[in-house]
Amino acid sequence: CGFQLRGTSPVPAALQPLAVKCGSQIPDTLCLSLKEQLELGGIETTEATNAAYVLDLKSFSQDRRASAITVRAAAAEYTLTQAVRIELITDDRVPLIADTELSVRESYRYDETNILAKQREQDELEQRMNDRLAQQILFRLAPMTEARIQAIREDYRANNPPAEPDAGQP
Amino acid sequence: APAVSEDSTTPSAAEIDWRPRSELPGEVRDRLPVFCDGGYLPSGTESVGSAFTGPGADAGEPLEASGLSARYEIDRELYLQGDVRIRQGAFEVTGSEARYDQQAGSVSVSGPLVSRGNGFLLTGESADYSLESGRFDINTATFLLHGPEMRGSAGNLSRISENQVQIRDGLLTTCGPRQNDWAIVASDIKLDRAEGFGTARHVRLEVLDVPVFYWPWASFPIDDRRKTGFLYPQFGSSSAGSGAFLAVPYYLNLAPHYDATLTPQYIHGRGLFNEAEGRYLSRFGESVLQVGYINKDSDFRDENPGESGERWALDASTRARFGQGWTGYGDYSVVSDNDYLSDLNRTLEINQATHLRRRGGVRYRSANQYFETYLNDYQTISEFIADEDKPYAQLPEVLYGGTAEAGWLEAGLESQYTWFYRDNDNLTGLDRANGQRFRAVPELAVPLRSLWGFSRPSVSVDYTRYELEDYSLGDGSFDRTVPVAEWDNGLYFDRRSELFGLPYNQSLEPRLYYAWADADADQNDIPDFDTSIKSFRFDQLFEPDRFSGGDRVGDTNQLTVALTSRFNDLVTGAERARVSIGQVQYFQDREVTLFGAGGSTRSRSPLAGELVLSPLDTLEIRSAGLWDPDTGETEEGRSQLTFHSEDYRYLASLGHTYSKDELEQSDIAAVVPVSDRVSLIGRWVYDSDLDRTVGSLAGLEYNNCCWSVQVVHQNYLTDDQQLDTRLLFQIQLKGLGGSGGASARISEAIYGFDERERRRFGTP
Amino acid sequence: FDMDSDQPITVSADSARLDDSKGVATYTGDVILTQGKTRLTAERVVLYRNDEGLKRIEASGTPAHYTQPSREGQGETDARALNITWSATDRQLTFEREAVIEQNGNLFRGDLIHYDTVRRVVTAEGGEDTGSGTGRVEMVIQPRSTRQGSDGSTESQ
Repeated sequence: CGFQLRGTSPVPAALQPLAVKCGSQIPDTLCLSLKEQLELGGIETTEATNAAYVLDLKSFSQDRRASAITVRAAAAEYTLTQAVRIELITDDRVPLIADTELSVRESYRYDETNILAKQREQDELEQRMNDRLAQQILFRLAPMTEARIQAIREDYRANNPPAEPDAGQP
Repeated sequence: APAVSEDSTTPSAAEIDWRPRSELPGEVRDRLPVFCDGGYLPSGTESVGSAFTGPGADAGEPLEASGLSARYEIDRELYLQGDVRIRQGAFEVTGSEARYDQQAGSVSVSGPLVSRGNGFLLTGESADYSLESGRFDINTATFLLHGPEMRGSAGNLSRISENQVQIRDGLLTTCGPRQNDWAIVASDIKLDRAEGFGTARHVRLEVLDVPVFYWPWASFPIDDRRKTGFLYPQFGSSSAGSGAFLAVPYYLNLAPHYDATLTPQYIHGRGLFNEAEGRYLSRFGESVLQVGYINKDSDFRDENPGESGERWALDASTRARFGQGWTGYGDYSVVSDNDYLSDLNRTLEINQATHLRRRGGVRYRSANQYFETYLNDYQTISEFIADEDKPYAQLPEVLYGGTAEAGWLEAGLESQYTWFYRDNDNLTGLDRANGQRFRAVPELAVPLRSLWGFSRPSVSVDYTRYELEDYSLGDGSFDRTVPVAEWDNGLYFDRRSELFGLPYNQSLEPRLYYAWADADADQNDIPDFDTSIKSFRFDQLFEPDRFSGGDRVGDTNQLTVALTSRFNDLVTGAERARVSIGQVQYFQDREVTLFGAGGSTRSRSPLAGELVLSPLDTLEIRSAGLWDPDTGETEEGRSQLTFHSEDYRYLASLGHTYSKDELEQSDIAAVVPVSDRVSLIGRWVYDSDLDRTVGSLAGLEYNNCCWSVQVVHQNYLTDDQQLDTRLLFQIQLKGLGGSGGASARISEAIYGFDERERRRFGTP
Repeated sequence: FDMDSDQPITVSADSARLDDSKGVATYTGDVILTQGKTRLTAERVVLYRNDEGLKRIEASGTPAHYTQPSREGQGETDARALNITWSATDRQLTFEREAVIEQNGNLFRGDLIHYDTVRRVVTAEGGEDTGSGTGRVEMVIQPRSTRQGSDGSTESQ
């Protein structure tokens, strides 16, 4: 029915050399997980100074709110949401992915009589959600083939007057 | 009343540039909020920063003047008459007569004059401008700042220097011309663009020209750098005995790296309650301190005779980044009594906190190592938690983990040392145990990866050692060793096709996961410090241990078979849909229990499924559950739909949680505009087992172009199983100070409300 | 022009017509009239004399062009108009229709400009809408800093 074994890497090789810039708000676990998944996808990350493309993780937020409660108003279930804003720009400042927010959401049952155990569970869940968020970021890089990058660049040149040659870093 | 009457013959600045919606240029109309029936034509490049630059900024530019007739005594005085227009750089003024004294370097213009510059428009009866000092005085003026859409009038308006503007007998509002819904009137307003905020004396808030509020002195932000000034007053009433309350938060931006918010609040029936929040940004990170204090809470004193009525709370949190992978964190919160939060600090969340966490620690993390040590404890603030269920403190906990690759072999270690302590005076049996636990899980794995799949066999040993005191079952030092073997395998298949014209890639990801753990069956001689049965999540199908925490290691011999299919659209790459289904085959009964719970003799687990659909960027539907094919019953279920319209005016979320004969609750929330100006806010949480409402929110929001009011009625469950009610009011005057108050709280109850709030006044 | 200066006025033109009885001299065709460094060029110039000397000059051209060198502290004056009239009695220059005067960066444009050379006062009217003119007087005044600093200090630009 048309399925074949995967033959291409999740992130196109055209996106090299790529720098991953993690803002100060970004949890290290998310940043490391993203770099690891990029390396698994065959993409070496480098420093921003000699990168042709910069993936910028700009802001991160985590929200925990009760999504079900016991009869005594204690939380019976919490829903965790993690959101990150990313941007992918070339070194000559052409935005390949404009400012986009990605989010993941998971729920877990809570028990106010065993909160230490539930804290363990939440810590583990947060790490797993970081990995899933990193995976969502990778999905957004998938379309960036050489052809697509070229098309975006031309389109950007068309409706933006050529900026004066910008020698600075991205 | 304002110095100059609005209906004088000459049109005010605002009237000149105001246009009804239909006559506005395209991009201004697009940005115009739906409840405004008109807006202002842009004037020059709109930047608030350059408001009131006046001619001074372009002193070097030539002065272009024209009129019907002129008389120029060379190098002494130029006198122009008849439809005079003077322009210098971006600044322009037109009037009936003008006199330019070249010796003194001053220009005076008289007759009804109009002056336009970058982002501002001024009218007045007469004006004087000195080319030397750049001081520009205009009398009986009206002005319009296009950026913040703020208009006003003034007996005298003078631009003293590049950054200083002074307004005497001024009136300020963001309402359209001919709309006097509210206005700030002050005898003396000073705007300081360098500092980024203005100060005003004898300030009166006038509603429909009637003064309703008076501040002797006030400061307010004039650009978004600084937000000093009044946030929105919040008031309302609550049935929980505390009656009406009025809070007037005041924000002090003290320095670029620290600020404070003081919130004096009068609560009827309790007294004066003060809250203060300070934020300090250091080189390493941000610290926030929140303090609440009431010295004589009369209602609390009546309920608890013998109490002094003095109640307080403190919440401090700090984050620090030391570099090279080292970070630090600290959170400490404490309240004077259990009901403090529900009486004095109620939020719109449906639950009531039962514990307050305090922890502080440092963490190091690099690509293949992490280390963390911290202290952690809780204050239990619910009297319905038995002593044996109270959490242990971890004084300290030390974690170390690391991985190392050696060719195709990967070695890993996870280790944890904890000192558990809690007051065990009136506890008995195993609950009395305190002491140390050391746990180490070395692992050897062979991670095989390629583009089309992966296979990861691994063996590990879960070794735990206890050194306990007050251990009721004999010698407190013993250990437990559990060998664990896992083998995780997965394949990736892809197929491309198209749906509704959108090209997408569908993946098929079969996964086989085998886990074997030889744990001795009876671990119930180990006290429960931090262990419970993990709640169901699809990812758990691929984890060997059904217990969280370290006091139980589950025995198992299982094989998980699962299939995941993803639909990624090829334009953005976003995962538009993900469907997963899986089941675990148990080859032997699970005997390890946590005091009787967690064991099972089933040979096959219920079918686990997970579905996540986000067909649009604004709609997400997720559902996960456990369904038992033998009994045909759902054992666990969690579904959630969240939606918001493109402009965030419509919000909706639908949640349903189900645990067989334990819990079933549904949660519906929505914000629906019923007209351009009125929106309804609602939330309803219903418990099917208890067959009653356990929380609700009903609100109304009225928006008019320059002010809005939000009224929210909240029903909340309290720990004595009763529904109490509360009413929250909030009035927002567009353009004045930050948001806050009820609207900030509503976003705690309804997803997407904070983004809706940000976009409400047409801010991009 | 300065009647009591002893400098002679010289005129050159393609053709000239003198009428001594009325004291009127008319020059046409590329007329150049100079007195010291002051110059007046036009297509047609009419000089009126009386017994005390030169009484009135009327010049017209497309445009007529008058330049006066800079004197004690004020820059060179360069003026153009369709017709320029100099009247000795009130020592006033009058520029009519498409009149433009430039003096050290300051510029005046209007339909009718009078320039009193003694009291150094320029008055200008836009005049009713004369078709060509905008009916307004326009001027550009350089900020003081660029004038030959009469007050010495040159402000930074």
